[in-house]
Amino acid sequence: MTNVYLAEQQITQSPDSIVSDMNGEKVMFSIASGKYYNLGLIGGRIWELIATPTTARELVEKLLQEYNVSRTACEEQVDAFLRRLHQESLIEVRNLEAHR
Amino acid sequence: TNKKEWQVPTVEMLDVSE
Repeated sequence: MTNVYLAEQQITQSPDSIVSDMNGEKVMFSIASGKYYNLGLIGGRIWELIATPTTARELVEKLLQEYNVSRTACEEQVDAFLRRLHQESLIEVRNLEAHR
Repeated sequence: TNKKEWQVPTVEMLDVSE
Protein backbone atom coordinates (compact mmCIF):
# COMPACT_ATOMS: atom_id res chain seq x y z
CA MET A 1 0.00 0.00 0.00
CA THR A 2 3.05 2.21 -0.27
CA ASN A 3 1.70 4.03 -3.32
CA VAL A 4 -1.74 4.71 -1.96
CA TYR A 5 -2.61 8.32 -1.39
CA LEU A 6 -2.60 9.32 2.28
CA ALA A 7 -1.60 5.77 3.25
CA GLU A 8 0.47 6.95 6.20
CA GLN A 9 -1.40 10.13 6.93
CA GLN A 10 -4.17 10.59 9.42
CA ILE A 11 -7.53 11.35 7.86
CA THR A 12 -10.63 12.66 9.55
CA GLN A 13 -13.91 14.32 8.62
CA SER A 14 -13.83 18.04 8.02
CA PRO A 15 -15.99 19.71 10.68
CA ASP A 16 -17.37 22.17 8.13
CA SER A 17 -20.04 19.87 6.78
CA ILE A 18 -23.60 18.90 7.62
CA VAL A 19 -24.41 15.26 6.93
CA SER A 20 -27.75 13.51 6.56
CA ASP A 21 -28.42 9.81 6.18
CA MET A 22 -30.87 9.04 3.38
CA ASN A 23 -31.63 5.32 3.12
CA GLY A 24 -28.06 4.48 4.03
CA GLU A 25 -26.53 6.99 1.64
CA LYS A 26 -24.72 9.96 3.09
CA VAL A 27 -25.79 13.30 1.65
CA MET A 28 -23.79 16.24 2.83
CA PHE A 29 -23.60 20.00 2.61
CA SER A 30 -20.22 21.71 2.76
CA ILE A 31 -20.52 24.95 4.69
CA ALA A 32 -17.18 26.09 3.28
CA SER A 33 -18.05 25.65 -0.40
CA GLY A 34 -21.85 25.75 -0.32
CA LYS A 35 -21.96 22.53 -2.34
CA TYR A 36 -24.03 19.40 -1.81
CA TYR A 37 -22.63 15.90 -2.24
CA ASN A 38 -23.91 12.34 -2.23
CA LEU A 39 -21.34 9.82 -1.02
CA GLY A 40 -23.54 6.79 -1.68
CA LEU A 41 -23.57 3.63 0.42
CA ILE A 42 -19.89 2.70 0.45
CA GLY A 43 -18.77 6.31 0.59
CA GLY A 44 -21.13 6.78 3.51
CA ARG A 45 -19.56 3.85 5.33
CA ILE A 46 -16.09 5.26 4.71
CA TRP A 47 -17.32 8.60 6.05
CA GLU A 48 -18.45 6.86 9.25
CA LEU A 49 -15.08 5.12 9.59
CA ILE A 50 -13.19 8.43 9.45
CA ALA A 51 -15.31 10.02 12.17
CA THR A 52 -12.23 9.47 14.30
CA PRO A 53 -8.76 10.04 12.83
CA THR A 54 -7.52 6.99 10.92
CA THR A 55 -5.03 6.18 8.19
CA ALA A 56 -6.00 4.95 4.72
CA ARG A 57 -4.19 1.72 5.56
CA GLU A 58 -6.40 1.13 8.61
CA LEU A 59 -9.45 2.17 6.61
CA VAL A 60 -8.80 -0.40 3.89
CA GLU A 61 -8.28 -3.15 6.47
CA LYS A 62 -11.67 -2.40 8.04
CA LEU A 63 -13.41 -2.36 4.65
CA LEU A 64 -11.84 -5.69 3.67
CA GLN A 65 -13.36 -7.23 6.79
CA GLU A 66 -16.83 -5.91 5.94
CA TYR A 67 -17.06 -6.12 2.15
CA ASN A 68 -16.59 -8.72 -0.54
CA VAL A 69 -13.81 -7.01 -2.48
CA SER A 70 -10.20 -7.76 -3.39
CA ARG A 71 -7.43 -5.87 -1.63
CA THR A 72 -6.15 -4.40 -4.89
CA ALA A 73 -9.55 -3.09 -5.98
CA CYS A 74 -10.31 -1.75 -2.50
CA GLU A 75 -6.99 0.09 -2.26
CA GLU A 76 -7.28 1.62 -5.72
CA GLN A 77 -10.89 2.72 -5.29
CA VAL A 78 -10.50 4.04 -1.75
CA ASP A 79 -7.41 5.88 -2.97
CA ALA A 80 -9.40 7.65 -5.70
CA PHE A 81 -12.27 8.35 -3.30
CA LEU A 82 -9.99 9.95 -0.69
CA ARG A 83 -8.30 12.07 -3.36
CA ARG A 84 -11.68 13.43 -4.37
CA LEU A 85 -12.73 14.12 -0.78
CA HIS A 86 -9.45 15.93 -0.22
CA GLN A 87 -9.89 17.99 -3.40
CA GLU A 88 -13.30 19.08 -2.14
CA SER A 89 -11.88 19.86 1.33
CA LEU A 90 -14.28 17.37 2.90
CA ILE A 91 -11.52 15.68 4.92
CA GLU A 92 -8.67 16.94 7.05
CA VAL A 93 -5.24 15.38 6.69
CA ARG A 94 -2.45 15.29 9.23
CA ASN A 95 0.99 14.10 8.25
CA LEU A 96 2.13 11.49 10.76
CA GLU A 97 5.72 11.75 9.55
CA ALA A 98 5.95 15.22 11.08
CA HIS A 99 5.13 13.79 14.50
CA ARG A 100 7.68 10.99 14.55
CA THR B 1 -19.30 -15.26 3.10
CA ASN B 2 -21.40 -12.88 5.18
CA LYS B 3 -19.62 -9.92 3.69
CA LYS B 4 -21.56 -7.09 2.14
CA GLU B 5 -21.56 -6.34 -1.57
CA TRP B 6 -18.95 -3.81 -2.59
CA GLN B 7 -19.60 -0.86 -4.88
CA VAL B 8 -17.09 1.69 -6.12
CA PRO B 9 -17.21 4.61 -3.66
CA THR B 10 -17.98 7.88 -5.41
CA VAL B 11 -18.34 11.55 -4.57
CA GLU B 12 -21.35 12.79 -6.50
CA MET B 13 -21.86 16.54 -6.56
CA LEU B 14 -25.55 17.39 -6.43
CA ASP B 15 -27.20 20.17 -8.42
CA VAL B 16 -29.54 21.47 -5.76
CA SER B 17 -31.65 23.50 -8.17
CA GLU B 18 -32.62 20.22 -9.82
